[in-house]
Amino acid sequence: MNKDHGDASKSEQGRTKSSSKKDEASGDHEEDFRLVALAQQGDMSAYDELVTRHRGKIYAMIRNMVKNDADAWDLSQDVFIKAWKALPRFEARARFSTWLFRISHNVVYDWVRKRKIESAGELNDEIFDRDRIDLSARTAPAFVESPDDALSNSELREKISAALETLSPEHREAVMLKDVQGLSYKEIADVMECTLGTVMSRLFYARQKLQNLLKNEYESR
Amino acid sequence: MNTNPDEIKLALWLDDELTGSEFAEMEAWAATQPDQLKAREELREYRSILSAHMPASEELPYPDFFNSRVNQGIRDTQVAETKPVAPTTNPAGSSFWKSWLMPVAACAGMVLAFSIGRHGFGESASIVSNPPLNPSVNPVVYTPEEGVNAEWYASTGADATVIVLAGVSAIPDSTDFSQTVYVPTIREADRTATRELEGAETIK
Amino acid sequence: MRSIFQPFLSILIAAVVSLQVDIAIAQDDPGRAEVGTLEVTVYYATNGDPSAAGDRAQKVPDEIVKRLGKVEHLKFLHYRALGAESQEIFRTYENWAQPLKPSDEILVRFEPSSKPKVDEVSLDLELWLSRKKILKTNALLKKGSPLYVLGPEWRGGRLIIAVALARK
Repeated sequence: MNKDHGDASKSEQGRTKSSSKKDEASGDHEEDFRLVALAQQGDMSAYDELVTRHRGKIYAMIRNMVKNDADAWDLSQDVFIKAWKALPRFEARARFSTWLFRISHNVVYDWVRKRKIESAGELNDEIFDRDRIDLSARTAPAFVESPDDALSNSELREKISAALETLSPEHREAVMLKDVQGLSYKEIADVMECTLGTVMSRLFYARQKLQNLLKNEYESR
Repeated sequence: MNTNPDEIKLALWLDDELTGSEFAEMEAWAATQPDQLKAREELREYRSILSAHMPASEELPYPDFFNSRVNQGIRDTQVAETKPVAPTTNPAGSSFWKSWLMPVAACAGMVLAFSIGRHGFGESASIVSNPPLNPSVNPVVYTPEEGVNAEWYASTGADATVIVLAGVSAIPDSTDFSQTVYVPTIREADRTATRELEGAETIK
Repeated sequence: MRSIFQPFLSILIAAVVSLQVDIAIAQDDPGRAEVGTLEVTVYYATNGDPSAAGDRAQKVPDEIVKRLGKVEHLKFLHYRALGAESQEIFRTYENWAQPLKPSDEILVRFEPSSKPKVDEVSLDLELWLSRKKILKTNALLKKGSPLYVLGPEWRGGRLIIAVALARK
């Protein structure tokens, strides 16, 4: 009984946390819609604000998909440029961030496909070796590991990243969208243009892999 | 096959996606299912560990530069989409002088463009037997591979744009295309050809 | 340690096999809207024996033969169609045509470089041969007016890659 009661209150805590997060999130969405409406009228500063608000999420997502900082940087730009072009057709039927993730999905898909073709021919490792990127090139800023990067570069994060890399792009994307970005199943299905069942099965498979890895971690909590 | 909504509902409940009466219903059921409650807690722990080590948002390098690059990309897009406005008839506002001057100006433009076009083709100028179809658009032709060159010209006879590649490596004779999925037959190609020729007549 | 996913397993196996749930209709990516169709055809052109193209190659209709014959660089005694593919032109995304599928010897990458009009579209076009980017151009394609690329040599002839807007 106590256990049940305890569990019930824990579940309530979980719901309360989740609810207040949702309230905060819905305030963010309102602000997004307001900025989108302004940007649709041609207000570039409003769009610039939207870019600032969402670039971190998009970059984090793409970086985990392509595993290359410079490419992630470039592809993130592409997302916002494409989003601008498509903005006149955006209606407030879904979250702006979800819509951006959908565009990111398409941009990364095109990039992966092109890379497969390029790497099937000449195996030019120089292209993909970050140290060999021409730092004077307009599109390639010089990357230096910041103190924040060093702090967050924990052993566990490396393990998680390594485990994610063993997944196919579809499985990786599903777990990133659900367990990192917090999208709902329906939102993920929309972003990845697949059914709810496909999302669930991809998540199940990907989580199993990660769960084995994290077994020791949360056993010690 | 039929869907069992309870299975989906359970999955959504485990992932804290249910709200309202559905959530209440599942909570009541879960009160008698300690295994499910445990599973949900473990899933929450897993998500919390993952999100702690895999941030949802990362400040990208040179954020201000990033924004300015996006703005530049948007401006480049807008420039590319802005094309010279083709002269159109405007019966409401046309004057006698406009209606007389415009055809003359159009002819002068074509003559000028023809002479520019011929000059631009260099060695291949002799190949061009007709003036370019669309003098206001000179395609950019770029060949990244060393030793490969490309020249373009417009052929009014064929009503087509032609790009001639030189210096491209031959495809080995041993390469076989016998597995090609789709090869247009004469009947199918005939329909295409007819459409193309109809289009050509319309343009002329 | 008991897997947290064991309760999931039987549920999700059934769900994957039997799930037929409509996804919520949410915001589309307008960039994926189709604004046209591109047809890419590869012809084999030769002054020698056209049977070198193989049994699968097809004769080319007279109208196309006449058309190609009007262009000095594309004038040959014999033509055969080797393969073709039609692909959608997306509003803001690239797409690829693989006319000799399953071979990726010839690939065409394309995406609109400006707003498409009713009967014409300006494309950023790339021709890839043997998995190398060989040609990049900004073609303005009009319906009824294709782009012909005189391509590589093969079996005593040349390949001609025809790129055209399809009529709907």
